[in-house]
Order: sequence, then structure tokens, then C-alpha cells
Amino acid sequence: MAAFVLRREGDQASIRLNGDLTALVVPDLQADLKQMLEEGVRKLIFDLSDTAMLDSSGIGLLIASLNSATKNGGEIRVINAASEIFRLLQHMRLTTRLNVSARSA
Amino acid sequence: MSRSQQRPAARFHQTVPSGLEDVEKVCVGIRRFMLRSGVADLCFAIELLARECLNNAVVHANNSKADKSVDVTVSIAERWVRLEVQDEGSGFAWQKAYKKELDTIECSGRGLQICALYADRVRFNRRGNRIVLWVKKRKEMERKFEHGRICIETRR
Repeated sequence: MAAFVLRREGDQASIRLNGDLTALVVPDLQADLKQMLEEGVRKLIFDLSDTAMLDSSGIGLLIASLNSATKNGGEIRVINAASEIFRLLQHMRLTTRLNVSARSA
Repeated sequence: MSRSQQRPAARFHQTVPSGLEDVEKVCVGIRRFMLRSGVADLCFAIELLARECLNNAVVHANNSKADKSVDVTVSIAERWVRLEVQDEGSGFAWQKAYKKELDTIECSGRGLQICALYADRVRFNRRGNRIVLWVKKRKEMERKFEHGRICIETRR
């Protein structure tokens, strides 16, 4: 199974992770996101429904995506974050900036 | 720290080759070990700390060289979990990196920030190629990360 699935509709793209967002996954995902942003995608939605772990490389990818998207007037959202991941991003003071919503129980 | 605290009840040790896929495998092993040892509530914290230390060791210290490896040990005692990671690199100026405050828009450099956030105690050797972290077991805990220092509140 692929580590992530990208779906694009107009200037919006959703990224569904099929597992953890960690250093192993980041390079491939970053390359695909860079290409999509260059092609005019402005809104990125990261779906973490199936993600149990997020490390500093994954956080770096989310911030890099935010920086690239906002440069072109776009935005990102992180949805369905597990409670541990939500808490980690909260401690990093990133939940507002990354527009993070927690997974419903 | 008393003698009974120092004696681990369970231990996980592995020598990891310098590749991110190897880090992934050993982290899955640590996750299983934590669950099997009955400390599921610290599973996320210990796995995250292990990932940060191992990624740093593999990528920055060992430069992903195939002939270099990293030793990782997780010990579970009555009141704490201890994580030790040692690489074959020349070390780094951890004092400087540990004190660095990050802006929320910076894309990298969060590994040590995470260590400070999730570990109760962090110790490096003088050379800077070995890190040891301790996480206390608690019934319920809440951590706050403010201005680069660890602040822990325990609810009874």
C-alpha cells in the first residue's frame, strides 16, 4: 500500500496518509506536494485518520507546506489528528497556525 | 534515584544500521515492546523520543553511512522508562542546540525541542554522541512547554 494518497480537485488537494507521517515518508510526499503547489494548488488538506505517529520531520513538512501555500494566498488544514498528535502540535503552539482539528472519539 | 528504581524490569536493545527504513523497523519494535510490557500510556512518548534520537543519529551523526550503526536501548523500571541512543558520529554541540528557541514557522530543528518536552530528564555524554532520556511513569499527567523549559503538572 502506498504511504499516502493524493486527490486533487481544482486548486484544492487532499492528502490521506496510510500510516505515520515520519522521516521515512517525508521526502516522497514533499516532492509530490512541491509539484502540486507549482501547478497552482492553493489549499492542502492533510487527513491523519490513519496516522498514529508524527515526528519532527512530519511537523517540518506541514510547516513547509503552510509556508509555500500561504505565499500564494493559500491555506492548509490538518484534520482527524489523533489525541496524542493533537497534543504534540498544541505543545508546539502549532494547532492554530496549521488549522488542526482532532479526530472525533 | 534508589537501587530499586535503577533495576529495569524489562529491556529492549538493538543495533540499528544507518538507514531510515531500519529506524522505522526498530521503532515498530519499540512500540510492540512498550505495549507488551504494559506501559501503553507512554508508548507514544517513548516511540517519538526514540524516532527523534535515531533519525538524528542516522542522518546527521552517521551521515547514513552503511558501515556505521546506532545502538538503542529502552529499559522499563518500576517508576520510569529510560531510553539510550548512541551513534558513531563525532558528536555535536548539544548545549547550543538545546537552548535554541524556535519560531513556529521554522521547518527544522524540532527534535531536541521534542526531547525537552517529553522527557523528564535528558543527559548527553561530553562528546555529544550519546543521549539518555528518562520518562517518569505517572497515573495521569499533563505537560506544558513554555519558553523552552519543561513544566510538568501531575493531577492526583
